[in-house]
Amino acid sequence: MVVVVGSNRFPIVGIGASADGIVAMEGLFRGLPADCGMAFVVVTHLSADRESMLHEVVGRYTNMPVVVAEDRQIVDAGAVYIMPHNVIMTIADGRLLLRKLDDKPRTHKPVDIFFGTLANDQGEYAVGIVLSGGDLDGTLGIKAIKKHGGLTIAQSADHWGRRNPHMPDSAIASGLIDLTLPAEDIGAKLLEFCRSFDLLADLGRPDGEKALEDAKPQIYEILRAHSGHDFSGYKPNNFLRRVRRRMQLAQLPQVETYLDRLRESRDEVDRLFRDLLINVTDFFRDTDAFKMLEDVVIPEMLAGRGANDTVRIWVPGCATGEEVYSIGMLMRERMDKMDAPPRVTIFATDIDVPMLGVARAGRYPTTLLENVTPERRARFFTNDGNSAVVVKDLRDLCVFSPHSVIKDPPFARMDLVSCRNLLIYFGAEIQDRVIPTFHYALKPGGFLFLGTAESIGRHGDLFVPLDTRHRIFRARERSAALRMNLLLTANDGKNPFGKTPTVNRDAPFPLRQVVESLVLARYSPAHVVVNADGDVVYYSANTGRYLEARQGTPTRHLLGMARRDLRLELRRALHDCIERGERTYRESIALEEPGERVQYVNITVEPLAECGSDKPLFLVLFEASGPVLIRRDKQHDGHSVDGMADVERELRDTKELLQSTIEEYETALEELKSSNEELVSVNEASQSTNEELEASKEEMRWLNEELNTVNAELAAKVDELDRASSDLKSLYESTEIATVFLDMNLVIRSFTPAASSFFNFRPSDIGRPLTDLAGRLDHPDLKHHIAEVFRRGEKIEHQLARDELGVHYLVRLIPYQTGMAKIEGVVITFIDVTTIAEAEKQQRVLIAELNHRVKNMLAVVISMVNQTARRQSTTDEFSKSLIGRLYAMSRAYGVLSRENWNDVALEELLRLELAPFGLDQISLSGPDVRLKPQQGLTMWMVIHELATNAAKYGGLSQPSGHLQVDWTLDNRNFRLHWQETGGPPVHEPTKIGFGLTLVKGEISYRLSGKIETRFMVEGLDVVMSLPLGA
Amino acid sequence: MTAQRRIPVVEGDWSIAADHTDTLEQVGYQVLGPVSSVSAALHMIDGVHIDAAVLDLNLNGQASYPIAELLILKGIRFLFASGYSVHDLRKEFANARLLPKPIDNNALLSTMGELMKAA
Repeated sequence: MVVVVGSNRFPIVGIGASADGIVAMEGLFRGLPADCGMAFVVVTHLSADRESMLHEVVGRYTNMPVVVAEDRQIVDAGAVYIMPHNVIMTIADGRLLLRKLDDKPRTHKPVDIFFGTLANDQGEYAVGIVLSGGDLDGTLGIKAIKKHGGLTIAQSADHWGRRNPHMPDSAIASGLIDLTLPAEDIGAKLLEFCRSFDLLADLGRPDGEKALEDAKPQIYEILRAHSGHDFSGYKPNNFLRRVRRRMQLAQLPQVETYLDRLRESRDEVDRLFRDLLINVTDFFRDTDAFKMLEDVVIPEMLAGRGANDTVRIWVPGCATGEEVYSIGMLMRERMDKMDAPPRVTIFATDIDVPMLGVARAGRYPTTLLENVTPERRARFFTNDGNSAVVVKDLRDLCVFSPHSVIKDPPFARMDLVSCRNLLIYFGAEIQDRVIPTFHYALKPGGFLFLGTAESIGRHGDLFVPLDTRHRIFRARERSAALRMNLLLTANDGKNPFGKTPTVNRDAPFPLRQVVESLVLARYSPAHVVVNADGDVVYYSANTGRYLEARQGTPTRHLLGMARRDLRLELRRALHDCIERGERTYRESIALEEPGERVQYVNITVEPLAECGSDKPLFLVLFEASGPVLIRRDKQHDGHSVDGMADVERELRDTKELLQSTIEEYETALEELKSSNEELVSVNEASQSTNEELEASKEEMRWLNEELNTVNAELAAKVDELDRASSDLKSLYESTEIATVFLDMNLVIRSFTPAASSFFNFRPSDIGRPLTDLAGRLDHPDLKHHIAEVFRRGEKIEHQLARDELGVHYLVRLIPYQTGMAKIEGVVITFIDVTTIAEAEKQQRVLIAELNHRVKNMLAVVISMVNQTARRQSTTDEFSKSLIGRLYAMSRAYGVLSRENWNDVALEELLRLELAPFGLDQISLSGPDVRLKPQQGLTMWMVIHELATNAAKYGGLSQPSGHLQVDWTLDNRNFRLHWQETGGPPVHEPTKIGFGLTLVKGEISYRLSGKIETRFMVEGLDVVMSLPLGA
Repeated sequence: MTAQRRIPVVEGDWSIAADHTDTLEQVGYQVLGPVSSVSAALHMIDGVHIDAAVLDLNLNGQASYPIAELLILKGIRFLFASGYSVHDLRKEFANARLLPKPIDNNALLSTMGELMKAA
């Protein structure tokens, strides 16, 4: 399967894992064909000081070439590149760049660094995969890839050894992961992704662009219906790029089909929505807004603050911390200009604990620092390889802790709440609840900083806009009651006053409200609203006549503030109202006022039905009834009855007793409250301790990671050792060489299987001194030889005499040396050299035989020379016939040695010897006869003599002549008939020549045959017969 | 020459045998044979007076030790002619005269002279 990518570009897949991610890599690569059309770059947390075998390991799982990356290497499709140890790897223009790592390998984040540059370099063709790993490395790299439109994948919990889920979990938590898959499924998705570039090629054409452009309003509409957000204000290019990317991932190249998918699947809309919101967390995202923050908000926040003051800032939903540090940088810069800067604390919270880990580390790939000016980079970051680390004085401003804006009680007394691009993820209802929470958290006049797409909704009554475009607001000073209500109702999401005070949401100060406020303040009876506990949640104007501030801790409790005279009745009225749930009324309560005057007061308590809240609220009205009387008027008044003075005094005493009891109770309550506040501050202290613990935990995690790496490599080493050991073992077994290892004290350390059968060793003999074991090893020289080896440090060889089984052994003693060239023992091997010994013996026999033959032959030659010399009269004839005979002999020897001194074929002999005389004059016929070497040699000489004679005087001396050679074999009796015709007339010679003498001698003497020669007129006729033997 | 010395020649190769025969006959020895096998040799010297003998050790693959044994028994001196060295002889013949092949004719005659003198 070849995936053809439209252009010559191809995806480059970065794979981030720690050493124990090897297992996951097996899963990943097993799922990929060799010709997948992608390049893979593996980046791992490797121990810096150890060479890794990773490329060999990965090579076993894939057919793609796996290489260790080199500097300036061009990345090609269909290959796997492994980051070497001890370097920082980046990529630019499709080339891998390596840089030696300086001495601090523990803290660097190779995956973030590589992914960061990969995103920059490859854009949409960048793929980031985060496999098992014990760190938070990769999360920011994933962010960079996502930002540039690449694909991001994390390993899900699967059986491919996600032993260390921190890395993938952190990446998943960032919300930037496109696909979460088991390792073995990643390959298939990658192939789909690769192919989708082809699918989308159409969209790149003008008509495709246009179709997408046309569909834009519909997509806006779908998004608005889903999330309430209008994206029509987004940069169209960005928007379309994101849509295209989603289409690519959804494998839907047609705009119409994708629209259908959006309509059907809320899930897809959600994904698109999230994709559109990416790149929102970044350093100084929306530069102008931050400029505003820098120029206006922060100076004002810090104005008039001294070293004893604290400025508190809260950043909810801080994610990976860029926003936090951006604000921190602005604060720091301003503080640097102050003589006595206040203490500044930035509380950064998020519900994602892994993300907080990333934020806490404050270590970012430099690619993510695009929006940070060079001055700020220099001031606030230290460069550590390719990542930038936040400096300490900036980091110390920030406290990171897990916290949910929705569920947890809010922080308080904040000067600034910066919550950018968090609200957009919330539904309208939750947004409605969160904005008042922010208001509660802020000091009056505190600042709220929201994201560009966010607003305070209908809470115009809580905030005054400071800069509408950049969404900066100031908290209005509102009554504490409202703040309380927020707390009280935080869990039910409803604000009892959310609706009532605001008539027109969009106008913070409508006329009607102003009028009503005035009327209420001036002409209505004084009133307060309390909850069932009696705590005041709202005060009207002019309550001072009925309520007073009391000594001690401030309180909101109505009964704690009510004037002494009213307290009892008020308590009863409130109690009755709460009990019965209906309006209660108390009339004419005498309220003593300064100057001996008395005012009668009516109290009405009424449940506030329309608030609809689960927690009931009660309206308490104070009404003055009648004019103010002076005390003596009062005495004239019918209210007082003569004769009841005693009862009245008793009642007053009782009242006072009751009153003091109540006050004691209230004091206790106050004390409880202050304890509570102390606890809150203790809690804050715990939080910072917790943070320190987190940091330690991080450290431990690193250590653990390193240990894991070491352990993984150790395991690989052990595997290798096992393999080497079993190789050695098989080698020992295959050589069948008896080998014994002895240590310094001649104790047996180990021995090979051959040795155990040779010496009858048992496994239990290991550890016993050699001297304890008698047996074949015990040859007399052995001890002496061992001592010699120890002394000289050289090997000794010694051949043993043949043993009772006829086996020769070569004993070899080799010093056992370690790397230090120190002799730590002796290795004794016993090699069976029987075959060699026998071969040597055989060789000696052969040499003796050769010697004998040579001498024998020389003897024959010499005797032949002697014989020839005696018969031939001239030197010329002598040498001619001698040389002829020697050549014949040499031919005979040649053929015999070719046949390895085995039988020789008669016909070949005849042909070879007669060939020089012209085979056309010669006829040969007879069966296949093979002669023994000695017979062959003799016959050769005989034929030579006959042929020479025939050529000189007989049948072959004239062209008309003819030679007929016939032979038969009858029961091992060989008979040969040599018949010459057509030569010069033949006469019986007077003296037989040497040739014929030799022939006769050879045949009868050597071969015990018979020979008969007849000198016929037409030619020589020879018949010989001889036994060939068995 | 009053009584010709009688010398059997036992030799595997015909031309060597012929050469020995010629050499010995030229100086007046009477050569018996030559023969090329153990049995022919034993047959030839049976009951015949001989003065000394020339024995080829290897007769076409057959050792001539039986002849040598018989000669020792009879107290007749002989020489071995062989391509082998004296060390390759059977132990009981370690003291026998051995002329290494190829045999110089002069050496043959002088050795034969020595054997005669000693007899």
